[in-house]
Amino acid sequence: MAITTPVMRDIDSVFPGENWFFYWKTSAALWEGKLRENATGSRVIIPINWAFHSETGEGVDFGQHRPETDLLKLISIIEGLGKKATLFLPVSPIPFLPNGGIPFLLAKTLSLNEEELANVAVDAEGSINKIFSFFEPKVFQGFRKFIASLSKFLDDNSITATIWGIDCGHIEEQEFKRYIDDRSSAFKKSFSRFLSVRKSEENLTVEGALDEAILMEEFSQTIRSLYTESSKEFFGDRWEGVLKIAFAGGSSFELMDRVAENYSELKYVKEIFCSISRGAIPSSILLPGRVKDSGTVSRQLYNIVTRSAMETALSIDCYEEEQLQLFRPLYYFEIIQPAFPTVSKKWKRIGLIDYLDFEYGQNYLIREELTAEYTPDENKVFFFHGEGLNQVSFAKMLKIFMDGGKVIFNSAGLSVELTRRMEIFLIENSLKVDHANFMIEVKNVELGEGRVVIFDGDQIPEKNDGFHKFWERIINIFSVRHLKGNTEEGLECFWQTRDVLISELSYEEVRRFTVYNCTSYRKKMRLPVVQNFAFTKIVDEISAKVQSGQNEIEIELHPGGSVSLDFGLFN
Amino acid sequence: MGERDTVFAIYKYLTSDGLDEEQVDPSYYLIRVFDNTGAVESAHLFDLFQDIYPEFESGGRGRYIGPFPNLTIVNKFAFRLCENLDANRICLLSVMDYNNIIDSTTNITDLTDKMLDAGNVIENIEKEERSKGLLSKLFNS
Repeated sequence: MAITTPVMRDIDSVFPGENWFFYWKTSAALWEGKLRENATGSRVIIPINWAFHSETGEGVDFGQHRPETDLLKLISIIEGLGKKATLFLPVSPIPFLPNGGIPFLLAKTLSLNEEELANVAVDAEGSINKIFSFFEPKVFQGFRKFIASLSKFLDDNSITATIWGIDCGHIEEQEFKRYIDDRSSAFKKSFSRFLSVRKSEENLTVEGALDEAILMEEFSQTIRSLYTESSKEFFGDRWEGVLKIAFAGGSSFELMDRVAENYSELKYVKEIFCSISRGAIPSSILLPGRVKDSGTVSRQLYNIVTRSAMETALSIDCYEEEQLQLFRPLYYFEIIQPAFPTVSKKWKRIGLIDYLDFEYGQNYLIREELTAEYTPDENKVFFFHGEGLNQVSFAKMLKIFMDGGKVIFNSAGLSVELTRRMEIFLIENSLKVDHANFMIEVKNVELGEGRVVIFDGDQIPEKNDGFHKFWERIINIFSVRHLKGNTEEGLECFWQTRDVLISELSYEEVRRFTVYNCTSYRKKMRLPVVQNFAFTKIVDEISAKVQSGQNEIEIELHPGGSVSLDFGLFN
Repeated sequence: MGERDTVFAIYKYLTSDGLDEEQVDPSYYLIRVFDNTGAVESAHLFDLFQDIYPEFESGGRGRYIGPFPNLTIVNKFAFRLCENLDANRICLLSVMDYNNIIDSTTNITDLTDKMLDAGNVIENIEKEERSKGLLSKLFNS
């Protein structure tokens, strides 16, 4: 195996990606120069390095002893340069720091994944960062002490910068896996205490591995919320919420690829898109320079992540003119998937994820719960699954339908109580249920603009080649406005959307289609010309040629090429 | 398929039943198999397992390869896998071996050497002899 130690450029270690600034990697005297020269855009992300401010987990330094810990000075410099400083406080282990960012005296128990393999991440310099358990009571106590000091420091110095918690993870087997999730002895010890309390207080019985897995997830959620709720408590109005960050190349499967220097642009481009569809902001911090600098990955990171996904997440309540021009990821579908151990497997088993990936790329969103109020959106279809569905999510699903929304409901595993409620809901509202047979029985219920399609996914035979057809028939009920291109393997496509500007009032919405050729071959693709999609312009045409004909748009991409096309949508 | 040098396989002893509510006997499983090209394709491993051990019913463990009733059979399968992949050797590690190595390693450059030191290495003698034969033909002709 070829092994070479990657040589890292100084600037990559300080600005490792997407405008994150690693203040501890350089002298405080150099901060201003480096920020002036290298910070792009209007925002600088400052990830708080707990272990750097509190080496042992006891005392805390914010510039009293070492100038590199002086966050007041750093924020003043950033603001002095006319930029916004956004603080990211990890509420989970972070993969780019030794010990997962925990002060070394508190890093006691190595965190283990579901297979009981050590949780590790390889950083851009080839260092193996071991992740230590956040389930150790002393880690939580130390974390509270630290955030109390940080909050006091911010108050005492009247620092107004906002703080986001970051829940760090990575994409593994198409799912977002959190670094905080753990099966170490520290986890097991706390879990058995949790279990005995639940057993004694609620007469709980645990039968089999599924029951145990459900309780483990519930316990993990409880501990995760301890970290986030404590942060909320200390930072008050400054606290903006928690963002999921998916570190590309952060999976434990990646370890051997890194040893063998197997770098596939296509793999990382897919992983970055997959992160967005799993509701996480991608980060390239762990990727070696040669990957980040490669044409397609670097363009994708800039256009899709820094300028779109990141800004969309951070500017949630901002209505400035600049924000109107911001392209956001386009989601045709939202899959509401509570953290229930079997639900994602069940959707996969009946081919939903494969179908969406094939027909719509990564333009769908999987999220654990619906946080915001539903606003009618004729272009979006919501998926709910009966298994693990609680009363709150069930009520939200019915509300979407009543408000004119589109819902696909796989009722498999729905509790007896909610099945009864569903029946009562249909009777009380005198709703007509139409029945059809698409491989299994499918029910269709309409109310004004609202529509819900109901079926029991567990009835679909285990091995069959009709999944694609099944989903095509279900999705076609909903007339999703989408331009499906004719693509080849190695071309990765993504759609974004934005509101219209004053000059574009003839449109309802502007969509941007971007395609990357991640192969070393010349590739072609075609987009059909259809009604209601007006092709308006070509953007960032790099090693690509676009020809617009009467019936189709032909795109030719050279190796590493990419191009974006804008469309105005009208009725 | 490129030239394979060393295949690494991590095995685990699983005792409890799977999430799919399928009861399985406690057995050994291979949970990770990788080489200098990355992870070895699961489908290939499953096919080989079924070919060699049609009598062991596979299932209930997702992408894990097994069940193997004991370590001797794990070793035998590893040897057959090494031959099948035409690799020079295969290095078998338990989960505990792997975690101990990770615990004492700080950089990826040391990782493979440490795994080879700690693991059970089975050489593909036939391949070695084949290449020796080829060399002797080249130099003695």
